[in-house]
Amino acid sequence: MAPAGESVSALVKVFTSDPLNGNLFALMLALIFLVLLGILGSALLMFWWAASVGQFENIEDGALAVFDTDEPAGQTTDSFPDPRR
Amino acid sequence: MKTASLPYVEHHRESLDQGVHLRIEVDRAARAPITAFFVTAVFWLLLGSMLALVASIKLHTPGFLADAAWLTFGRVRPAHLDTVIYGWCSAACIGVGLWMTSRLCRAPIRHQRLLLGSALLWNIGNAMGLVGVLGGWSTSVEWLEYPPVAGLVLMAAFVPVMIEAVSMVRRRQPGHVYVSQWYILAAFFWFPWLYATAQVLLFWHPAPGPAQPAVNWWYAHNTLGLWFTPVGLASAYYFIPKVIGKPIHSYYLSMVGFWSLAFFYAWNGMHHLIGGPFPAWLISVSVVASLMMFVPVITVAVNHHLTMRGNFDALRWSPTLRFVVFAAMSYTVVSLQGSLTAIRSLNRLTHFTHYTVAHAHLGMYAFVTMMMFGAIYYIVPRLTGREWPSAAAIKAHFWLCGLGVILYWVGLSIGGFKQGLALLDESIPFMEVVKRTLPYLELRSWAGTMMTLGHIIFAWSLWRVLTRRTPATGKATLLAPQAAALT
Repeated sequence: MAPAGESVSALVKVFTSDPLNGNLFALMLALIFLVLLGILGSALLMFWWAASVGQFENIEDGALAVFDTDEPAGQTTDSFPDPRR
Repeated sequence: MKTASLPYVEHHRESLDQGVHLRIEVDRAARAPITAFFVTAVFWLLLGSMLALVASIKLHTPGFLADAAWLTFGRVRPAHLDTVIYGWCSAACIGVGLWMTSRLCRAPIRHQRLLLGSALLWNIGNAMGLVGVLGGWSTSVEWLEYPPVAGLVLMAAFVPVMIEAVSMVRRRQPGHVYVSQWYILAAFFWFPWLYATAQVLLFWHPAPGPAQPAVNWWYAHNTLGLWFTPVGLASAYYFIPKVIGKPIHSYYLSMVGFWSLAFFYAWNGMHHLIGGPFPAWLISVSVVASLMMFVPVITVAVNHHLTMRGNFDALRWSPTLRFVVFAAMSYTVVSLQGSLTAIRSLNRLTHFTHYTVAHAHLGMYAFVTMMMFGAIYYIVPRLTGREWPSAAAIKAHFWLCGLGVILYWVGLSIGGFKQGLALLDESIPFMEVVKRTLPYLELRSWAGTMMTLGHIIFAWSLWRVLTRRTPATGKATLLAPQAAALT
């Protein structure tokens, strides 16, 4: 069995040796795939954080976070300006 | 009875005053940077609309402004695209996103000068990009036509936005992180991530030929889904409950919508390359992910509809709600249409036709742009303490833009569908196919004219507010009476 270092360098060689035979194409697709996984990873990380700090407990109460003490639920906060103007 | 002497009334009044003071402080701190983003965004909206009209007229009247190289279709059309994406929509999203974050975190913006510098740099980047594209130095990569140097400036301009967003989240008052905050914070990180990756893989260390469209469409589609869509939905989740004074119908569903968007959307972009020289698995994954989008879209649609149920009357008296509800409904339609268009058999018919252009405008205009209009109508009076000048102007703006984009979408969708059928029929000469699309292209120009007129009215209203030619805000667009007394 080849040492890990040799395997890695062989893999790098496969991807970078000859741009014209399509290996670089594979490398680029792999890079995009990695970025995709990164975005997915960031979502998982946020999800883990949200769960660990209790953001999913009493979840329906969270809907009230949009309201303030002076703009409470039940109070409308927008209207057209005076139509006479 | 002296209610003022009751302890709970005193306590309530104290917390009310604190709340009002904090809200005033939040809006005051946001005034300069957010206004800078909004004003310059509207400038790019007007310029982008003019470029759009020129490009549209050229499609059915090719001799129109044909003598100047910088006004040829190949330059004007990408100039329109990039000015409205980066100059208008992105700047508006930055402003709206920062203001909502500040409000929801109950943390005033701290780095006003840094953000003013960011707004300046953002506009320099757009100006460089526009000159580059009209001057003939376009990259020819769709959605990324600006020369790479302009891209560098835009990236630098975004850094302070991220810093301020993180700063506000770190200073947020204890409590629940509202769903809009999740959307905005994610968008503020996903967009620069996408943009930088696309710049590196397309311009700094360019991918070989066939990989470039993969990078291109991965970027372009995700910019819609992971930048504009999250800020748009964050706005809907904020403004609908806020305006009607009713919590979102199911907060649980709103969280399902956010997390499913975060998990599924990034895989969507490759459905633009159906039929292209790409591994079949890559396209198939994207088609499946596109259909998975039914989950967040339907949850959002159901949730917004049930929140509005019993409150549709509010559309008569709230300018913000008119635009926001129109945009939210458009989001549902454009997303379901997009998922269905990713199916190979339908894609074969509609790809490379005006149907795709109509679909893109339904997303970027009927959803994103209308949402930003609604948000700005809500935010600007609170930043400036001044009322909008005219209810009639707001209504004219809404109807011109709303009817304009519906006309645009319906006309080009029908025209594009017929164009696709004709293109697949080898007995029809290509020029005959082109001639058949002409009535729909003329309709497109009329629709574009309507939308541009709406934009001019909107810019006029904003100019009147900013030059203090409108009355100070009363209870109408509401600073609440207590706040009005304290300002």
